[in-house]
Amino acid sequence: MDNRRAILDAIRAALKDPRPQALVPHRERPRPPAPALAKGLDRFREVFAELQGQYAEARSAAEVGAALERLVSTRGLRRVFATDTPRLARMNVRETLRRLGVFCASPYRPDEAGAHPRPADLDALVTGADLVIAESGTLVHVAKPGEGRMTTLTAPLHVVLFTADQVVDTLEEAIARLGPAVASGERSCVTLISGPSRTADIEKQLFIGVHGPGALHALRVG
Amino acid sequence: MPRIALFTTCLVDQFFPGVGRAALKLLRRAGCRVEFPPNQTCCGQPFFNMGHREAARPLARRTIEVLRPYDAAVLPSGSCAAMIRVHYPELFRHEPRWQAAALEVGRKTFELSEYLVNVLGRPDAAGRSEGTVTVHDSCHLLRELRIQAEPRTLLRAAGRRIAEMEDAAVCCGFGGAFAVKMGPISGRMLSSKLDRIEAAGAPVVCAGDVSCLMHIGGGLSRRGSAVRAVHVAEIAAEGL
Amino acid sequence: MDVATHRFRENAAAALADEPLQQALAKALRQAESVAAAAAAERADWEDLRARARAMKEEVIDHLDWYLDQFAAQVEARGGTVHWARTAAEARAIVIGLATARGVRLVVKGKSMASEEIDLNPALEAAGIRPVEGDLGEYIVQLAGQPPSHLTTPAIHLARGQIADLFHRVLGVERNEDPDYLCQVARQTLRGLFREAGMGFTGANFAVAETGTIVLHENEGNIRLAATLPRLHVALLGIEKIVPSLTDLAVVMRLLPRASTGQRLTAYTSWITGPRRPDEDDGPDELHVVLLDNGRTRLLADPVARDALRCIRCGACLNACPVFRMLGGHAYGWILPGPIGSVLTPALLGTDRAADLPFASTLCGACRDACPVRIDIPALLLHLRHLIAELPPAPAADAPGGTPPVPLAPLRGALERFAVAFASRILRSPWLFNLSGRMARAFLWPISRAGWVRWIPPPFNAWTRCRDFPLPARQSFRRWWKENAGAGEASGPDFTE
Repeated sequence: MDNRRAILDAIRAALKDPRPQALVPHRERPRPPAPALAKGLDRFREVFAELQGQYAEARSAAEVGAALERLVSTRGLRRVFATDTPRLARMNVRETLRRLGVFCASPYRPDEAGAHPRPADLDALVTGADLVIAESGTLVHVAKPGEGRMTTLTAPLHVVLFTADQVVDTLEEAIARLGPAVASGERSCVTLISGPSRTADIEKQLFIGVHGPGALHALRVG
Repeated sequence: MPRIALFTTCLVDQFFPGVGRAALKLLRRAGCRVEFPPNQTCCGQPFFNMGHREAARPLARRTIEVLRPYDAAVLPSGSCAAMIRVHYPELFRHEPRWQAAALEVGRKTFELSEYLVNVLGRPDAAGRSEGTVTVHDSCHLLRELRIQAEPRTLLRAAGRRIAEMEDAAVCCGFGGAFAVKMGPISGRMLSSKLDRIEAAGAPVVCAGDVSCLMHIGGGLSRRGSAVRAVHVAEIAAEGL
Repeated sequence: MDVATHRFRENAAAALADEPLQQALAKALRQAESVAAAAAAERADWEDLRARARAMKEEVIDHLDWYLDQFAAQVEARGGTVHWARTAAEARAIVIGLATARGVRLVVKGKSMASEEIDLNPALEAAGIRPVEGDLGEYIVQLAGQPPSHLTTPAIHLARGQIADLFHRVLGVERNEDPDYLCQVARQTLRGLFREAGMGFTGANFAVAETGTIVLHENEGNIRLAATLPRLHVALLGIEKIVPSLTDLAVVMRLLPRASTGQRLTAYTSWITGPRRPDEDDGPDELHVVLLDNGRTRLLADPVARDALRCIRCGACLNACPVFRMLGGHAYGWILPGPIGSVLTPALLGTDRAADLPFASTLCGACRDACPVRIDIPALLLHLRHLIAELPPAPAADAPGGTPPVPLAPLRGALERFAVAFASRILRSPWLFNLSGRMARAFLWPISRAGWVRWIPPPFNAWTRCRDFPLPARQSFRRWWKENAGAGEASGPDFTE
């Protein structure tokens, strides 16, 4: 409390002199007109592809099943975890994975000793999204019971199911929709995922898949 | 008829008087009544940039008094025009009367190509000559006064072809006292700029500030380069 | 890190002579600048965003105490704990105290400039706690025993060969320069450490006062792991990181990734509000937010320099600066390099310790054009130069580093003041000025050739080390005007030359 008081007092004392007004406004650089950008799903697909995400569509649970089956066989997936949210349940995701013999029970609740399972064991994660932001190719995920923070982070491949009504164009719209949930304090973590994990720390060369999924698939359903 | 004061700047006066004569020819050709107020010396920028505002203020007051009676002041220098327009009011922040005078003079102070092209609309006042030039964008001209097209307009009106260099807008490394205080860094930046100038392939490099030209020209001379560093005004006034 | 701000000139000379560094910087910074420019060009509202961000940051600075209190109250309402650190020493003590009380032996860190600022890692090690940097660039410089050299790309000064050597030497792996291979080595090595660590330590890019949310931008995913797996998450941030609301957050979220790395958004952006809720599956049990002053309130007290607190640590000014491009970050001697570093370092450490930095600029203004929050860095540098040249040095009471204040070489300062006063006197008189020009010409003409002087004797020889000096004209403009003034003002001189 002492330190808090000291810092706040120091701030108030420091601010007693107002900042001087600029006498001659600085001229900004003239800018050429910006290109007109696509909107909605078209824009999302464009940007998501630039980010090296994979986009696909499925009209029904059967098509979702077929898409997952294709992924399992082409990638040789053996251990896949899918969350049990209503959207995924409607698309029978867990049933499909069980049928393919790859479903892995929830590894993310810590055991009694508080230890986390080894993330390296999983080949893929399948989750839903809470919102999709078209302009930046972003999948928004609110960590919730049954679909925690780790479910979007710790396997080399992540598949995200979303519906068209979840797509907004801009960050501002996303904030307008998510703001109340954040402000209410109900949930601790919102993650905006804009493409697979990457780094350019070595000579500015792009490397995909550092501490998060290197393969990110967005599957629009319905 | 408006009376224009030609403020040559200290460097032009003592080192590059040809730039002053070129500016005079261009302005006359554009129909101006131009005078050289003899009491002018230096706008005070070098001292201001070094942090010595007490040394800069007397020079700023003198400059304001010299220019005040005229309808406009024209300078063949982006950095000095910016000093008067942008920094004089700051220099007199605590002296309201001088601050007001500085703002008044600043409003009628112009860089040469800005005045000829934007204010008078007379790029055709340029003479006529041939050949290719490359252009260096002096920093104060470019980023404080936002003048980039105007020197090129003048050069083209004079019949010149422009071969743009790569990184034309990157600083040449002069920076006033920086050139000697931080000599090695300045030298390296100069070297980069000279490489770009030579790569552009033109026999002449133009700029709107003799400070840059002194530094670039000095570097070209040291390299034994055939490229000459010439002020935009001198090229534009050729043939007048 | 050892503060080396007083050795700027030597460090700069060393950087200029370091060819591999020069090549690494040239390539990487050119690319950084160009992708950022492309990302900005996509937004028709880029200037509007910059204006709004500036206004919003000014509002926060002007009411910083109120917003900090609001932020702290919100964090605590959500189950977090807020600590206030006046100094680097207090901040270190808080973090180490939290770790020790919980028996933490290993801390996994996300990239945090603030943690470099307070020299956290050596202090943790001294307390028997091992810090491991989770960010690849930070991990590389940590292995190399170097400080980061750039705000957002810490190992930008190293070429792949040097990193390959480093991994081979320190980690014992095969020496292979392929960046893909190097990234995989780092990933594998760090993987297990996230699970073992008792504390995850991060900075924060922004802190939303309205909701008590901290915002973490990253591309790799290591910050998410550090903020999720360990039971204890500690976040350190400077008091100026506050934004008022989520709507304001949107403005800076549009600006930071674009200005910094040319991305619309970083691969991951986490909004963290408090520790995990009882019904959540994962996340830390405890979230501790440490608010850091460490000289910021002193900077705030200068009504001109306080604008530098708008900085969002994007690094755009570094990428745009022609001087930084030649030197890299280490030459600046402290954790904040480049244009904004040349303002913040003397302001936070004291102008007596870093008196060269504000002069390490040509005032070209490229940084001002690049800054997403419109900080007029050249104006701030001019302000600091004025303080250094004309006012007594302002030491920082509790500045970091083992180095004592180094007074601006007193002889150099006195000589400069004398030379300036002398020159100013001459320039106040047109005839003295003209006379000095004639004298200079008389002196230099004998040693000139074709209008240029190759060498001027000391103490004026600094100019001629790398370029020729022009010979003053035979006849100054004012002489020519006087001699050629025709009848009346209207006609003026004849051009008979």
